[in-house]
Amino acid sequence: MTAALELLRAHYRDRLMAAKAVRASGASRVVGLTGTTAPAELALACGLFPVRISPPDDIATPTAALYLDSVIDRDVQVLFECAMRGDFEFLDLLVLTRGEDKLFYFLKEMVRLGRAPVVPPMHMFDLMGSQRAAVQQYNLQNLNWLIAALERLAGVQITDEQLRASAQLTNRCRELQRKLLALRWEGRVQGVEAMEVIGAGFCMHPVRYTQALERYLQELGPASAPKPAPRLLVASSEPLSQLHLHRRLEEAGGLVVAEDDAWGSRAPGDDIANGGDPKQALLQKYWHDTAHAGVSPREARQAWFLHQIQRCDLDAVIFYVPPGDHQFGWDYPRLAAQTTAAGKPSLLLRQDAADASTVSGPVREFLAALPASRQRACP
Amino acid sequence: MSLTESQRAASRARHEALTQLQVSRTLRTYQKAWFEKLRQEVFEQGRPYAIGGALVPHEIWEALDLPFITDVWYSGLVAARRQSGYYSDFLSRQGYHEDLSRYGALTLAVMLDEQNADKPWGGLPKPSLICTNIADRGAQIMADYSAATLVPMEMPVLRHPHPEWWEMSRWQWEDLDESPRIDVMVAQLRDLVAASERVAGKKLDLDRLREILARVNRQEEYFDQIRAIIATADKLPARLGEVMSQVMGIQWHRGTEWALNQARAFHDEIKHRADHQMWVCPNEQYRLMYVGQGLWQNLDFFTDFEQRYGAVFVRSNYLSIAADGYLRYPVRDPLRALASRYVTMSEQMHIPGLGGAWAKWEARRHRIDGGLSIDRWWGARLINLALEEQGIPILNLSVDPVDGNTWDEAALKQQVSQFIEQRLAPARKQR
Repeated sequence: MTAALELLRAHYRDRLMAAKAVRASGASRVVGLTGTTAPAELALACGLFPVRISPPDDIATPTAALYLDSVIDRDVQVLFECAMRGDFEFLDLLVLTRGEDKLFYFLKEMVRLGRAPVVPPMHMFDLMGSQRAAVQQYNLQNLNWLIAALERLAGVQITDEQLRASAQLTNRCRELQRKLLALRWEGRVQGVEAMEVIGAGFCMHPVRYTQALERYLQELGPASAPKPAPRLLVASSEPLSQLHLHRRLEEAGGLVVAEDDAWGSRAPGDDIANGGDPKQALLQKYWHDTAHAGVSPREARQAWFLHQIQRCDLDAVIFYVPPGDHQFGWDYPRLAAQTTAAGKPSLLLRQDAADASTVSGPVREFLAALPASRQRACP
Repeated sequence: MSLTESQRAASRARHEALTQLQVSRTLRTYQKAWFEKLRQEVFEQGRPYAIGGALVPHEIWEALDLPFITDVWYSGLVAARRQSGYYSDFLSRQGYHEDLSRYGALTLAVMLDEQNADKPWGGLPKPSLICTNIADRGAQIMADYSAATLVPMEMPVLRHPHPEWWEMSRWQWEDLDESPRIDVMVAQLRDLVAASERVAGKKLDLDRLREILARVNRQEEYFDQIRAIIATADKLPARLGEVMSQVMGIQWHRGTEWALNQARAFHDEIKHRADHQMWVCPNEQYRLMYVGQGLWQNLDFFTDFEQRYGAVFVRSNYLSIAADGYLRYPVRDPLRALASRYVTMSEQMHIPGLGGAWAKWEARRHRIDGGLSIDRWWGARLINLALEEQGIPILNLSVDPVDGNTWDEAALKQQVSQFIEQRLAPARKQR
């Protein structure tokens, strides 16, 4: 393992490491961002350290079990538990997005009842996923409220120049990540490793992340030969903030070349436009070019996936719909039919990938049954 | 589970025997005739119609004379006919897994199932327009199947929840619902109006919409008065199942003259029964509240504990939210009042702090001894905790409100019986 990969992997595994170090050193204040629609660029522009807040793997949730209903997503339960036990106490502000509205409501109530002294101040950034003009003004208002909250925290006003500079910084991250995604399709990077490398970007300062990612890509070099394995695309009902699924698929002999998920292939998207009003450019980016379940209409949500399944260098699709799904299942039959129509076999996994004993068998069987001729059939 | 014709007849006979309110009969007669007319107009005359979720502004369609039905209302018909298990299985066979909500989706199932002719009231024609909450992905499937226009509504997050929301909702709604949230709802309502106008072939008359909103207010005022009668009468004057059916039957037609007249008749009958001490259970011992989505698959379940325990169900969310969630004064700007009505509709029963405060206030008002809740409802746990902390025991039932596959009558009855014997009775003795 190279030094760059080691560094990226360390930040992926201990996702709050950099943020805590910054906070402890007093170098800057720290803002936690849940979900995928809160722009880290705003925090950077006023000298704050942004860090993505994600549910850690495999923790007990006794407090969540007391207050939260079983119908509420597991990720929300885990984040609630973390917040209540003080994991986020070091944050100066916790920005929640509409995908975590229930987390916001429950934590707010705990605060009201005086049962959550360790929960940091919260801000709801309610960027709607509807891709229509009716919500534009509301989304812009929400962006302005977030700016005001961050400026209040930092004690400075965000200028257009600062905003452009921070967008430039994160655009460089995106550019490098897109190079990594291309290498994945060439079969030169394992899916597990790619997820770690991409995910580290949510936990590190972009300057340090860019340096590490550049080094990592250089060290990959031309020497890394394509891996001869069935190339898989993953569509998941829940954010892939952990590696279980990729591990199971690759332990069984597959190679995950892409995933329709903001923790993986959908992380970079396009650049933030560098001309015109930087605030508008930021809004356009996070409103129109972010992958999450709340995007509507369906065509906007699924366009990327439908494009990928047409690729000749893709062998099969894995639909991951573990227990607890309340939405993706309505889309699944249609997506599965479209995958079949594109000539790609698919596997529906309804088990939790954390449980290797139930997942590995079906995955191995599926991969073994893939037609050999399809592999490397690209002209 | 799907009943045979003879089982269905027996169920109808039992239900008829339990029916106490004259308005229950007039409601059934009206609904059937209305639906028959709708089918005739749509099938025979090709008139377009709309399907809406429960929490979208039907008032706009009423103002445009655009016929519509509500998905959960029709799902309720499927459940009441004991066909929910069959249609739930049908959806599973189509690839829609069992964890997906069936609450409104039975309507979709009835539409997709072209082979089975045994459908409530002859089945549903294809709609021209569908409007539901944006999270309702089944609506897109229905729109694909029907080639209908889909207008999803996206509700903004409530940033500043007020626990005693019902004290603000009638007159102080601009503060309660937050102006920017109302603004974004108005913008989405304009999209719905434009789509509805295209389907209806006419322009929306805002004066007419204002009249309809005012009529809805008058209807909900009757519900408010009915709730007060039920809460304060010596004993329960009408069974919960009948009250729930009546409230929702009227709500689906809110804004019409018929709905207003039916609400008045409903009020008059409840008042008459209370004035003349016509009690559901003269030996009333325990007053229970029901928290959560209606057990539409078996509303008669609530009557099963009257004789043995003197236990009556006096309160559900349905009548109470009609009074506290819908009323909006004034209606000077009808779209804005409408936006406020729907911007948090139903969520105020779930959101931590709001749901609990309301349930406690309702419990005090109705002199509640205990409650039943169903656990497939977000926010229920905190509501139950709030009630328990107030000394009101709560039984949580693990059952889907409409899916017959989750119904085990014997087990559920045993659970409720044990709850009454082991928790309500000792608490009563202590008091």
